[in-house]
Amino acid sequence: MTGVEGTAALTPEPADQEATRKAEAARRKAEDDQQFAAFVEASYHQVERALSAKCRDRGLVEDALNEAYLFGQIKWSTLRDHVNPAAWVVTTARYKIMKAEQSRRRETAVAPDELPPSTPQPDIADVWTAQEALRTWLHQLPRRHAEVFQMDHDGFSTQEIAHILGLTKSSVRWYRAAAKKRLRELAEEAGYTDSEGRRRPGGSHGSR
Amino acid sequence: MDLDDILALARTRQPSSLERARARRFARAVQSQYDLSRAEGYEIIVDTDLVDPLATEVDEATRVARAAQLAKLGTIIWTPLGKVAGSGRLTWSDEMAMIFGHAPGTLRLTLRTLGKLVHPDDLPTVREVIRTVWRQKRPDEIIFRVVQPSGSVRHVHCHLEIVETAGRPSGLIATGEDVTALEVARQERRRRTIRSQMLAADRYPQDILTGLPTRSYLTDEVDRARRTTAGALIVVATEPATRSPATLGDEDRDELTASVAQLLRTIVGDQMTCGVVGPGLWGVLLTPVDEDSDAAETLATQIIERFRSHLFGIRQRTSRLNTWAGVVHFHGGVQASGSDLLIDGEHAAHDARTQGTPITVLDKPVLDADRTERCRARIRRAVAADRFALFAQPIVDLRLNQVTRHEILLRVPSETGELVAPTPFLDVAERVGEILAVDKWVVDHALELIGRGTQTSHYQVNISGKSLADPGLLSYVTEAIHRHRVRPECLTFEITETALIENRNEAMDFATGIREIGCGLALDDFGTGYANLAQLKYLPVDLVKIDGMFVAELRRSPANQAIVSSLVNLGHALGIQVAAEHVQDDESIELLRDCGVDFAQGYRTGRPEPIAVSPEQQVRSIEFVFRVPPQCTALG
Repeated sequence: MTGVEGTAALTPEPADQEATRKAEAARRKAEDDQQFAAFVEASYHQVERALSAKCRDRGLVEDALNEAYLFGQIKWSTLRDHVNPAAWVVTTARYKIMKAEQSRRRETAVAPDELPPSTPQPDIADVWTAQEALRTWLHQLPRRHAEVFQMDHDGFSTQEIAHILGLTKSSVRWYRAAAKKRLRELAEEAGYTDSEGRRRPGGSHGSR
Repeated sequence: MDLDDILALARTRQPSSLERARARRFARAVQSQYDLSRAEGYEIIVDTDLVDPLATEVDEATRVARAAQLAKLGTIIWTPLGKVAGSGRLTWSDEMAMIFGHAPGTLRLTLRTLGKLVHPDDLPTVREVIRTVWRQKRPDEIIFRVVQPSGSVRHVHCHLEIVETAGRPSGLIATGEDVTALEVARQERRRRTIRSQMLAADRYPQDILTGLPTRSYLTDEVDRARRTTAGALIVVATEPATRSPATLGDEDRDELTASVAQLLRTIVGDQMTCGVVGPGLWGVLLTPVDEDSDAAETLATQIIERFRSHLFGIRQRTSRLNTWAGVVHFHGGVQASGSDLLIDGEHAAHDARTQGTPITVLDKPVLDADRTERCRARIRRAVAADRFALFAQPIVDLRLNQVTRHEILLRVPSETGELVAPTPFLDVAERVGEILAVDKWVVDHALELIGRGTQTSHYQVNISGKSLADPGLLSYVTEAIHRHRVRPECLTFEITETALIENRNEAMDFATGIREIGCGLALDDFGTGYANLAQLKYLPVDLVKIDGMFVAELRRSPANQAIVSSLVNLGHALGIQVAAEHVQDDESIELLRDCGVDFAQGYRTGRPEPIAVSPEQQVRSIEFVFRVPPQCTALG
C-alpha cells in the first residue's frame, strides 16, 4: 500500500518537474522572442532598403520580408549564431522575390525594369529629401548596381554584399563604382555640382 | 552641394519614430503568426537553406554557382589554363546544360562545343563581350540565342563575372537563365509600337489640297448609305466669278479651292460626310432623310447662299463664287450605286447652271439607261468636237538632275470652258465604256504634237487598263506612230489602273506588242489601283509610277518612306525603274533621291503646261525649272 501511497506521493513530483520545464521553456521562448523582436526592429529598415533597391513592387517586398522573418523566427536558434542574421534575411527574401518574379514573368511576360523614370527631386534641404532623392536616382540605375550601392550605403561590407547577392567580389567593387559614377551624373543633371562644404582655399576639393 | 554631400546627409538619418513604430508593428505581426502556428499545432515548413551566407568557406566560383542554383539559374565556369588564349577548362551546371537543351552530364563542355551551341549570328558578339570582360576585368551582361539539339532556338541572358582567387583574377563565371518568353514579348512590344507609329491616323485618304475626303471615299459612303437608309446627296458646283478665269494662276486656284473646302466644312459641320467630287465640284451626304423632309434642299440653299455671299481672298485680290447645286433623293435599297448617284448629282448641278436656277432636285435617281446615255453622249460630243486639250508635265531624272521626260496629260473643259483635271471625267468614261474613244483621241493627238516637235524628250502617254481589252488598240497605236513619224523609243505608255485590266491575255498582247515596236511600258498610280505584284512578274513593265498618295506626305510619314523605299528595291530587283508622282517640296526630292527613285514628277519639279509650248523647250536643268514661275492655267 505504501508503495501505492509512495507512488501516489511521488506522482506530483514529475508533474512538478513538467511544470518547471514548461515554465523554463516559456521563459526561454519569451527571451528568444524578445531577442528576435529586437533583431527585427534593428534590421528591418536596412533589409527593407536593400530589397527595395532590387524590387519596386512594395507589396512583393513586404510579402518576402514577412516570410523571411517568420522563417527566421522559427529557426532563430540557428540563425542567432550567424555572423550577421540580417544577411540571411536579405538572401532568403531575395530568393522569394526572384521566384515570384519568375513565375509572374511566365504569366505575363512583362519586363519589370521597363518602368517610367521617376520625377526629379526638388531642393535637397534635409536628411529626408536627401534620402528620397537617392531613392529616385537609384531607380534609374540597373537593378544590380542599385542593390549593391544601397547595401554598401547601409553599411554591408564588400564581402557581405558578394555573399548575399551571389556575386563575385570583383563585380561588387565594379558595380559600386559604376553606380556611384552614374549617381554623380544624375546629381549633376539635377544641378548638384559643387561641394561648397569642403572647399579649401587653393586646395583641390575632389571627392573623397 | 554634390553627390558626396547628399550621400553623407542621407547616411546621418536615424529612423523616425513613425518608422520605428512600423518596424515594431512588423515584428509583432511576425510574432503573432509564429505564436498562432504553435498554438494551433501546425508546423510552418521552412524550405530555405539555413547556412549562414557569410560563413561559407568555399572558393568564389563555387559560392556563386551555389547561389545561382538556389535562384534556379544556370552557370558556366571558365578557368584558364596557362597563358594560351582561347583555352581553358569549362564546366556547366545541370541547370545550364538544360537551358542549352542537353540532359545533365551528357555533354562535356569545351570552348569548341560551346561555340557550336550559340547561334552563329550571335557568336561573334558573345566572343567579343567575353574577351572584353576578361581583358578589362569587369562584369557585363549579354543576351544571345542558343540552338538546342532539337533545332529550337532559345534566348539566354547571361551575367558574366570575374572570379578571384586570393585577390587575383582566376577565371570567369557566367550566370544565366532562359529569357525567351521575355525576349519574344519585348519584340512583340516593339512591333506594336512600330505599327502604331506607322499606322495612318486618318481612317481615309484625304484630298491633298483641301483635306476633305476624296471622290472615291465619298462614293463608297454614298453607296453604303443607299443600301440601308433613305437619304439625299447634294452636289455643289462652284466657279470663280471673274470675267477672265485665265487671270488666275495655279496657286491662286489652289488657294481658292482650299478656302472653299474650309467654308464648306464650316457650313456642314464635322458630323456630316462631305468630300471632293471633282474640280469645282463638292458633295455632301445627308442620312437618314425622311421621304417628305426638305432638309437637303434647306442645306443646299444655305450652302449656295453662303458661297455666293462670301468674299474669298486670294492674295491681295478678292473673288466671289458662282454656285449651283443638284440634290438627289434616294430611298434605302435603291438600285443605283454610289457612283451613279454621284453622277446624277453632277448632272443635276449642271442642269441648274444651264437653266439658271440655284438648285435642281431629283426626287429619285435617274433610270440607268438614261444616265448612261447622257454620259455617253457627253463624251462622244467632246471627242467629236475636239474639246480636249493636252498638257505636258516635266519629269525629272533624279540621277541627272534634269528634265528628261514629259507626261502628256489630258485636260477636259469644265462648264465655264476652263481646262481642268480629267479624273472624274475619265472615271465616268470608264464606267460607261467610252474610255477607248478618249484614249484613241489622246494617242492620236499626242503623237501628232510629238511628231511635229524635235522629239528630244521622252513622252509618257496614258492609256486606261480598260482600253487594253480592245484587240484593235495595238494596230491603232502602231499606225499612229508611223503616221506621225514618232520615234517609238521616245514613247512610254502608262497603263492607268483605276479600272481593272479587263482581259489579261489581250493586255499581255498589247504590252508585248508595244515593246516589240520599241516603246516603253509603265504602270501608273502603283500601290492604290488594281495593279498587283503579279503584274510586275508577267507584264513586260519598264517603269512603275508610285501613286502620289505615298509621295505627297513623304516627309512627315515614316510609313510612306518605308513603302517608297521598299517599292524602289523591289522595282530595281526586277529591273524596273521607279518614278514618284505628286512631289511637292525639295525635302521630298532629297528623300526620293536617297531612296533611289529614278524619276520625280510634281508641282515642285514643274506643273503641267499647255503642250504647244512645252515639249519644244529642250532638256533643262532642274534649277532652271524651279525658277520658271508657273503660268499655266489648270490644276495638275
